[in-house]
Amino acid sequence: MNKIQQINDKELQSGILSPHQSWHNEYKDNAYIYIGNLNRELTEGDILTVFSEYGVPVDVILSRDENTGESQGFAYLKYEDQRSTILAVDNLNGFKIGGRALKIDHTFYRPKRSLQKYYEAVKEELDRDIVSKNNAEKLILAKKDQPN
Amino acid sequence: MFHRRKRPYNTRNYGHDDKKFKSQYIDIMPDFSPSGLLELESNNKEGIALKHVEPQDAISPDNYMDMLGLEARDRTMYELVIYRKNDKDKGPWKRYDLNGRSCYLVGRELGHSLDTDLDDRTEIVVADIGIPEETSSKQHCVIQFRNVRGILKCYVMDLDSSNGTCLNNVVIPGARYIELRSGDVLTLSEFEEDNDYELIFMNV
Repeated sequence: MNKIQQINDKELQSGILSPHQSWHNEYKDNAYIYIGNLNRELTEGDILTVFSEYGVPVDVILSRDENTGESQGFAYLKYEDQRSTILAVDNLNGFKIGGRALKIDHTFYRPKRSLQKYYEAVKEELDRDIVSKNNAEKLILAKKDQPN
Repeated sequence: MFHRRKRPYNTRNYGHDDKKFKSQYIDIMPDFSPSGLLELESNNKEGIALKHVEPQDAISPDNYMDMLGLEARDRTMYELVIYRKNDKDKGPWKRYDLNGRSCYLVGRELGHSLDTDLDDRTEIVVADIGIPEETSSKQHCVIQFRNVRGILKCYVMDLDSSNGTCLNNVVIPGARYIELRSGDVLTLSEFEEDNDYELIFMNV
């Protein structure tokens, strides 16, 4: 049992059930989670597949070696709804993928200048999951332009 | 006063970080394709990813008969009889009882591996019904029982095998359920000269 589960058990014994009283409330301003102890063969696609269970991911950063491009075994992920981080941290801690148990926690992510192209590629890929007002209008126009 | 001598040009880089003189960084880009690890973990046998996942309405003949409350003598028996061509005995090569499980994987079982790199040439068999033919795939096709609107039906599905599957001498499409009836003949290749074994589905 890891520390997060211990803290959760203590809160349950103390009768804390409200999200406002939980330790998660300290991170209510931040929607990023840290994912550690990843199998190094996993890709960004795999991480999105697993973590889409608890919400819509809007950002993913898999740390890669700057010389070889290989995964370094940890990643950061941001949800559209901040409450999804609570579900992911509580439910997927210790979850085994590729023979390794995940370590998940709330975190603050600071962008790096050298990964600018990476961020743009991720944003372009994940924008397809979210339909905003402008996107909806574009989609409607695109449908009209298509011949039946 | 003594002044320190200026170092020659070629030793001026001594002690400096090598990263300063790197010509350019490799642009790190994300990879959104699946690596295959998740698929392997969810459905595998002896480390080999299985191609077939049973449908929601899968049911074994025994469970189906139990559900109907039939007695032993009233039950339908399902069987797969395998004949070998040019066999002098004229009898079946093997018989498989299909009543106990809802899904049977048909594939290659030679007794040795086709991979010449392996030292002991040990073959990993994932098929439930093994056919000793080199032309058959390791996971060639699958025989699946399903409860279709209260009726037990048997289907065969080709698992996108290399040489295809024939049902009554007709090539069946890949990755699609085809219903099996009593007396149907299955062969594990599209080419007739490759077929040494015939699989006959029977229910009595």
